[in-house]
Amino acid sequence: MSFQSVPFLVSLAISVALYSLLPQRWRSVFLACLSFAFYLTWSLPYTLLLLLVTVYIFYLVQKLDEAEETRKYRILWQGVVLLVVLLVAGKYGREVLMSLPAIGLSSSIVNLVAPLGISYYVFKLLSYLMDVYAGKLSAEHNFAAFAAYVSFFPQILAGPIQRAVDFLPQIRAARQAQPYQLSSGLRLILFGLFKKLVIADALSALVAQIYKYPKGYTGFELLITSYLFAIQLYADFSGITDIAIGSARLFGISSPKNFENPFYAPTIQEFWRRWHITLTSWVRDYVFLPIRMKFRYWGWVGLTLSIFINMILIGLWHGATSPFLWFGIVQGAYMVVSVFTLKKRDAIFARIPGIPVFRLIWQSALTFTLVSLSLIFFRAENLRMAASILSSILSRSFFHLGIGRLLETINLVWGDTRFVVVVLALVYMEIIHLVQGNLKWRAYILSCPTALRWLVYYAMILILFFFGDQSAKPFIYFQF
Amino acid sequence: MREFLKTAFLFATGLAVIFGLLSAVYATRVSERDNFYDLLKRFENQDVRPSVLILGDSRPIFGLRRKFMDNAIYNFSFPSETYREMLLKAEYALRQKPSIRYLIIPIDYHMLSSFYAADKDATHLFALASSADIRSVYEFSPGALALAVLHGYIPLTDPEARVTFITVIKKDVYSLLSGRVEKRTTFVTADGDLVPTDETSWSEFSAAAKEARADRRIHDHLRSGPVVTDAMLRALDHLLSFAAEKGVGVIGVRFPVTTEYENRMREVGLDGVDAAFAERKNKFVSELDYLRWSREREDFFQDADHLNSKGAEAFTKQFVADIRNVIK
Amino acid sequence: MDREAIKEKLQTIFRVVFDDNTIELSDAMTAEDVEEWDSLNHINLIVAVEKEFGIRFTTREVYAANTVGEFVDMLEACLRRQGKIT
Repeated sequence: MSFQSVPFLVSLAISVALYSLLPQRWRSVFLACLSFAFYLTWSLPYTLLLLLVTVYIFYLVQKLDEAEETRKYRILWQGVVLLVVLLVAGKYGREVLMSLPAIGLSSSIVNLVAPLGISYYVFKLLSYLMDVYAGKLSAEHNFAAFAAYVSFFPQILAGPIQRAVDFLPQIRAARQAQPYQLSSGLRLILFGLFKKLVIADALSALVAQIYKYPKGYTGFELLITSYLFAIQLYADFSGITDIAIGSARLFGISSPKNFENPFYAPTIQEFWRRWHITLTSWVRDYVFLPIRMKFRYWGWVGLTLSIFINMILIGLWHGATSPFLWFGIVQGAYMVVSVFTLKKRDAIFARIPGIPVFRLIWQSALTFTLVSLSLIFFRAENLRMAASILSSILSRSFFHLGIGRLLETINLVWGDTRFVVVVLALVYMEIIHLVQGNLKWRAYILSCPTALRWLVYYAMILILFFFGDQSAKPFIYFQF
Repeated sequence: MREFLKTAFLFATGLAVIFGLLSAVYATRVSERDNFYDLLKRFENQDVRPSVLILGDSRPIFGLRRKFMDNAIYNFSFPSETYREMLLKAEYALRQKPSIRYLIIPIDYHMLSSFYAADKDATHLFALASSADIRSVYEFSPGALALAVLHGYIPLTDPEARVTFITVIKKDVYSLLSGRVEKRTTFVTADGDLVPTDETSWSEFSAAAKEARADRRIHDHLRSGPVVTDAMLRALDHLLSFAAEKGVGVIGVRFPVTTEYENRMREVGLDGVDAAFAERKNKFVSELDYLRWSREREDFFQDADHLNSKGAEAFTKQFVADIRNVIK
Repeated sequence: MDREAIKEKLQTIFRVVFDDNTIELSDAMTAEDVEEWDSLNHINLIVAVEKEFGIRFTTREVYAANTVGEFVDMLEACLRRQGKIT
């Protein structure tokens, strides 16, 4: 069952109603069962896997919590190794098996898919394991609550990756959603669907058409395409995240943010603090910091190494192919250069009067460009294609500012009506994002007359209905 | 909480009202202007009492002109109709006009393809057939039938209808703003023929343009899947046995196409189609093959596989003469 | 050395590492309250503290401290354990 379908929305409504009618002590059981049932609609064998892993970690961590100091470390590593092996096998096993000569061509291997959401639930389990070890929280003794945490259906498909320390107290309290949470949750779901079906899918069709014959476009057009893909990814991913957070809110559960106007970030470091926040903070807390601690006496070598390992891991988390590896390497390079030169650059520019505003705009534009260029690795099917597109952008052809071919393609894929709709929708999306980030504006908007706000919601629903993409393209971040 | 539920209910009601309004607009601006219903109404006219009924898709409807047919022959075809629609229309027509003794159906090479098998849009047929009949002919599962009924009675639930709606509304808005009336793509003439608004002539296209257009047509018709599908064979057999049951003779017709179209068509393996029609030869009273009719007259065609008005005039005359020979 | 003294010394280190003479440490303070204090600088802070107090932290200890108050407590326990104070 995918998020952007009528069956999901109907089931969601029914589940929320049931949840609020149930007595408090049954709610975590209900949520856990609901989440497993949701997972079941995708695959039975993998549901069993999820259940097994959940049970195993549940008991392992209790053992860890009760063990004495010397044993704790060993139990920790037992759990970590198992989970990492599971994650690697689940995500990359198919590719590895397919490259083995004897087994490679067996059709049953080809039909294997990675277990859904494995990247997300294994990360949740790892963080839980390590947090209990570090004493941040004590082991959970209520299996229903724990199972609900691991399998929580709004978050299992594409995050946000919520920490146990944040989620478990909420599920234990199992408070029914307040009316303001219900309306805000519904608004968020509507907004998420809007971003996905009206913006992301439209951009996806356009970018796909361009990527069919990239040689037919100038460097400048390909640069614009890379911006469009970045925006597509943002609309797609923040869309599903909004649906996830909104759905959770309907059950009275608040989830962590995953995005915060990332494309306005002035530096690469800042960008990663605003994009896929829960993943970045996870890798920072459980990989970067420990590694950095190990290398802390290695000076700038230690820092560089830690940064590269961090970014390469983030790249590979998305996929075990070389484009994703290169994405990580490129981002690592960006980060290292930025981190080491930031202080000097700030010092230089602070001395020149009147620069700050321009500098902010320039920095954001530069960062957005750098990120978009690195995302070409995400989109291109293989390294060769990515390299050719990049070289086209960075070569002399960049200076031909003609966008004729691009406009032709836009006309072919969208037509004039759709083009207007997408542009207006993009402007609208950004306005809402800016409002969401500013408490004052948000309060102002919410205090506007109900009739006016409803008109906007009705408009969104109608645009969704008439211009939303019907072909049910999967969310990009599902495959991770 | 009660407040919230009240508000939610009010919101939903508002949405339902808006949807109702839009559906009403659709009914007046789209459904009622749907040529299908116009042609259906003409057929239902008491004075129409044909003995020969032509069923088919866009080739017969664009390729024939009523003016040159006598009252005994009636053209009841419509663009994109497959054997399924023809079966339901045949059942309906025979109920309405028991004077019918012969059915003319197309035996063109794309009639059995997956392109037509995939067309499950039954909306038009709710006007002349029951849900049960539609379900059996389209082989709908209960879910698919429910969806088809929903699309039939509340068109805006169908994504394709929504696209049509937007196009029509856009044209209306332009008309309103510019004062000009936007032309429709096809319209029904006073005689009751369906014709395209912009008449073209195949001879005006460059060689490259002709190849490209023929290529695209063949790609849609014959390259989107198997050329012979079981679903279409079943529909054809059902139609043939229905005709036999009613004592109605069936004449198979292959309509004219351009050289470019046929060349491209032959590149696809068509033996399956020939075999399928050969197997059913004894169910047809006669087969008329006009595939290469007036090939050299490029000005008779409007595109790769349709005749324009000039061609239709010439073709109808020949066609009527040949039919009369068969019936005698 | 008592807790207050430790805190004083820590404050000096903070001011040097983050290049900000106005930093005032409070127990409830977290990384969000100091502008330069991000994951990249965090380790610089740790290294500076280790150097200044002559001790070594374990990753676990660093990880478990969420606020300045917890950090000071952890620091105190560490110093005591490594025999630097009584």
